[in-house]
Amino acid sequence: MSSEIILETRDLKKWFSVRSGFFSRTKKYVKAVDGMSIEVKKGEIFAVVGESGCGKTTLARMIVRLEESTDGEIWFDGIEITSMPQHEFRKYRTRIQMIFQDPYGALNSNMRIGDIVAEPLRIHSVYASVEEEIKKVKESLENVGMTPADDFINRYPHELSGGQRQRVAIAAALALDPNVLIADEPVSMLDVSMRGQILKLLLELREKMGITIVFITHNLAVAKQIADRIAVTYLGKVVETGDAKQIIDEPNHPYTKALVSVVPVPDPAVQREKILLTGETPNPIDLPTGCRFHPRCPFAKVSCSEIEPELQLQKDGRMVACHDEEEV
Amino acid sequence: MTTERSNHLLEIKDLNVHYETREGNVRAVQELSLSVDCGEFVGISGESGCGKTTIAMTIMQLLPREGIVDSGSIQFNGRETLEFAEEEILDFRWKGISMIFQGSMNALNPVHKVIDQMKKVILLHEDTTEWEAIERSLDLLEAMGIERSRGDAYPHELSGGMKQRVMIALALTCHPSLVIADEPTTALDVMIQAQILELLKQLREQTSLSLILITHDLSVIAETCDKAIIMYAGRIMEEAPVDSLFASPAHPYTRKLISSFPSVLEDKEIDFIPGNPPDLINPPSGCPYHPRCDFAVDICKTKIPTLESKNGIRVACFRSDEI
Repeated sequence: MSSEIILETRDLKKWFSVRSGFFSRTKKYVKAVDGMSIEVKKGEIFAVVGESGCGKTTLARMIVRLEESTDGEIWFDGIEITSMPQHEFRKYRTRIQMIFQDPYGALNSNMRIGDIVAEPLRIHSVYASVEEEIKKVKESLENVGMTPADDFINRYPHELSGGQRQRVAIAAALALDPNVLIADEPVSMLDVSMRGQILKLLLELREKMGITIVFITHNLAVAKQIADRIAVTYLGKVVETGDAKQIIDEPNHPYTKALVSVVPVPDPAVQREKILLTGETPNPIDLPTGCRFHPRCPFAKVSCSEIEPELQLQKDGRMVACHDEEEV
Repeated sequence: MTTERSNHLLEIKDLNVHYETREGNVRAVQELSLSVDCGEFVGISGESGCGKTTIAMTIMQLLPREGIVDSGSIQFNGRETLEFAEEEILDFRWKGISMIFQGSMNALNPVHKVIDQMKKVILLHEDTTEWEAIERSLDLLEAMGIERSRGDAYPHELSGGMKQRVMIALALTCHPSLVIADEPTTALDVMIQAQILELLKQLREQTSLSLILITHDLSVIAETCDKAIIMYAGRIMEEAPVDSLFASPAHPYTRKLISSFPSVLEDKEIDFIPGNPPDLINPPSGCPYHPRCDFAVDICKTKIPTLESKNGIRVACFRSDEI
């Protein structure tokens, strides 16, 4: 892994407008992503973790421009891609690919596996001859462990198991030899016994192809297993980011601390103190003032409701957005 | 059918259930025996399609038309439920055993207020006044950490975690002695999951409630249950007290399942079970797990291992002594 940054978001925002009333003039916004900054290094697996509604999926969709950002910048390989018109972005589209959570819904059930994997190649007119295309499709399928590829190209998605379908989705995403793969909860819908296969595959692909992976997940235990670095998000903002093991083993931000403490552990002998946060994540339409975590934070001070903390570099190299951590 | 009266709160003996499909019969539950005692929390786990939900639906007598009970007995409080007449079934559901469904946030009726749905259950089963039913429902909501004023809310006005709590409250309205919870926290965030599990633990301490917790999430079972049952292809592979199941799993499948499960506290190597879950229409010969098992020998391919009791656990494996 090099220290070169391949993907970066700077103060990225996505506000969805909602109608508050027919005659109402004031527009309200759901601030799904509200100033998210992440830095992804070349060849690393970077996990974005958080609860539902924290903006992790919206972030992923903005990076591949399935969603246009409201404000902020996305830098890919030294180029700013948010302000670029869609037709110009097309050539970068081949270099950033995405896979989705639901391996059942993501594949067109009327298409054969071979066609599904070949489709991105056809859309981007990569190969002139059919032979080359078939060769690439087989290579992609074999890359994801669907061997021998000949057994699979003429089959339909319903003939495959969930794990195999997710492999096909990955094969289609990799057919264009992208630099970055955005994986949105790729194992959440799979059985625990199957998850490991897909996680190992992602690790192998990183080894073999040097691909960079942005791994979106709500599961901290999975993030710990696979990620090099993580960003923990809360209500559209990053609260803590840095080395994955360091942060999960010793979280600094009160939200990360609480989140790690409540993840159930598959070992009844372990007795841990849980930090149960009261209430639920506030509505992203009416965000709290100051630090957006302060109404639920066990350590909140008066200043927390007034000033919003910025991500600050800590001694150990991580970044934390909390007033309590600034003096460190 | 047995006439012998069971001493357990719930006792299932030699249950066989299949679904009729166009492709053939899906043998969802086979030769299943288990028991639940008063105040006991039993976790049932296994991969999708292992028959966990079918057990729940069979106990509640809510199997779809294609689901057929071939044989077996289910005794609740010493009475054979499979022989219940229609009125007896209606009486035993909610009052005897109630169920929290998978994706229960969608199980609430969207056009009725929460309080009306709860009140209705009580009035249907008990001879009380409407006022009393409302009071009791509000008390229950309060016990679940929902303000009494929220009783007037429609389900869509509540968050996912709150709807789940309403479902738990609903399951408790008629004071059942057993609750079956099918993946009660799977769709929820970890923070809400922790709150719900905490609630279940409190219930255990305060009442003599028994619970069957069906989940694919072993860590949830580790944190809440007394006893765990691991299923594969419609059969019980292992049953053991939670402590010993996680400390020294006796079945190779349990072992693999536990080692595949990531933990935030450990640096676990990524592990998985090779191959695919079995086809239940044409299950493998012998032990259903043998094609994926690291310990399989010749006998595993031809003979189905019986579930045998030893040292306080039950395990179905020819080689469990060597493992």
